Amino acid sequence: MTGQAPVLFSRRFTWTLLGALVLPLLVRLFTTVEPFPAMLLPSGANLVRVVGGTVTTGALVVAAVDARGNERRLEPAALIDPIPTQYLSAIFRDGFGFERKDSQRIGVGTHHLNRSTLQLEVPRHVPSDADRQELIRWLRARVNVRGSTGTRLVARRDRLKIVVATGKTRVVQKGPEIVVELP
Amino acid sequence: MSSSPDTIFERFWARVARNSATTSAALGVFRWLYCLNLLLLDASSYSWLDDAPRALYAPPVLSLAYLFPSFPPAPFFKVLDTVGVLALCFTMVGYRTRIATVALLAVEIVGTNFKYCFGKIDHNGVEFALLLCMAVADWGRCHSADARFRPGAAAGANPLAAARGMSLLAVLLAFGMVTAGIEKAYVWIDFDLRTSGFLAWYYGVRITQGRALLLSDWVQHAPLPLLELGDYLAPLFECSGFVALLTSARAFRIWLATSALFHLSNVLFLNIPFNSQTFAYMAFVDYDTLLEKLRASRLGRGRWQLAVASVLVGLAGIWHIAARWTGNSSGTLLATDAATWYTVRIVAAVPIAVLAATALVLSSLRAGAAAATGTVQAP
Repeated sequence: MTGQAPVLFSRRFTWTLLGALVLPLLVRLFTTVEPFPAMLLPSGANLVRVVGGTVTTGALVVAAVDARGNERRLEPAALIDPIPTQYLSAIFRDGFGFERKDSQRIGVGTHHLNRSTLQLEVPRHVPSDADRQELIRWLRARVNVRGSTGTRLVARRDRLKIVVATGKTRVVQKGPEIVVELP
Repeated sequence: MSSSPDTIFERFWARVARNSATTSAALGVFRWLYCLNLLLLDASSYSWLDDAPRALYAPPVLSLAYLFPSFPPAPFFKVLDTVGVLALCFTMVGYRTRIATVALLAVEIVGTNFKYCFGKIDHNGVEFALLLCMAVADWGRCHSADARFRPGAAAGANPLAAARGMSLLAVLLAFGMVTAGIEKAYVWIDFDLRTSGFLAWYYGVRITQGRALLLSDWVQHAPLPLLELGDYLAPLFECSGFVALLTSARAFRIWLATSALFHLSNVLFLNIPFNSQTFAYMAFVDYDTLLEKLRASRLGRGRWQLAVASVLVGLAGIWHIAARWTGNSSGTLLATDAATWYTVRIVAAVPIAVLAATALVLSSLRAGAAAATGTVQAP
């Protein structure tokens, strides 16, 4: 090195880098989808309302129902093991593998709270009947463990009220159910 | 540096390089530490995807996996894990380090593309960025098998490569944190005590995922104004990385140390670990003092350490590979099932964050002293 410091990165590289970083961020900010891989860290910019020291939030419930209609809550981690527990909500949103729609919507909007200015339909991966049968066998093996049985798997998102100071929780509204028959 | 750069870009990169500078020798130490973290806690673990139900395949629209109709047939992911573990072992001992690092990065990109096909993206961009930038920085130049057995092309300090890799990593880290903070700043800073962003995260993890470890129970005793203050400080801090990076080497390391403490609070109260991301910040630790002490010690003068370390790394690698082919795998050496792996990661996140924060604060003091005496390194 003789006097002049070496140039680390060229102008073209810098512009390319800027585009590779900013474009995925813009996609995440103004649409309902997110590119991957991209240099995007978790945002999680959601809010809950706190009224009178009480929070209202959603909670995913998975349960096995036997022939007599008795409901038995299932431990989410055990139900989908070895799939990580944090994927359960996404699996539920996608119909637990039993959704038959062949398209999905991408919302495009002007800012975070309004991503519905434009709706784009794109193809969705639809599982085959054989894949669904495999999923039923997979779920049945997890529901019918340690002598317990269930003829149906039920998943729903309930609305809960939680007292922040005590943690006391009560269900205020049961959500619509996804029912999987486990013959 | 006798002449000043004459364009905005050159001035930007010159300043970033000055404030993120480290040496090839220090990167050699960091390589061992970071790979040790991966080997113990976060090794490639995708083999379980071979047994995942195909009906759950719901890839993100803008991902490589969207181009595929389903998960690849078994034993694709066991083979992928095997390649990943081997690449990790070679990277750690520093054998063909650049190639091994790129192979590890490729495995992680392919594996995570399919892992996120359950409909959720986990955002481990920092781990990708770290491997990419360390390949650019050529972190196998020192304290490696390459340095010992392949003298010449692959050995010895390479200040320009180190400066490029570290500058790129610094920019990616600062930008990554902006992406985490910008949307939160827009939504969370609402001057309304009847809403809480922190509690949205808290109950999301606690209720749906059933985690309530460490200090999680303490949150219910926190006054709402304190949580609201957290809603404002978190995104503002996340958006401040470039200010610190462009200010000074000391400021940037203090910002990284604060990031480590931020992750510590996340794991303590929210039970969300960011282990490998926190470890990535330790690339900016000044390891020269540690190296000097090592050289002065008996440990640093022996010729057997590399051989012993390589054997231990090899044994750990064999354990990982055997576990994946027998269906008992997780990312850590310390557990073979997903639930225990989470607990291990959450508990391990505490000492990792404390170690990173402490090492970065000490490094910031050295960086400040170096700046005061005019001994800041230039590429």
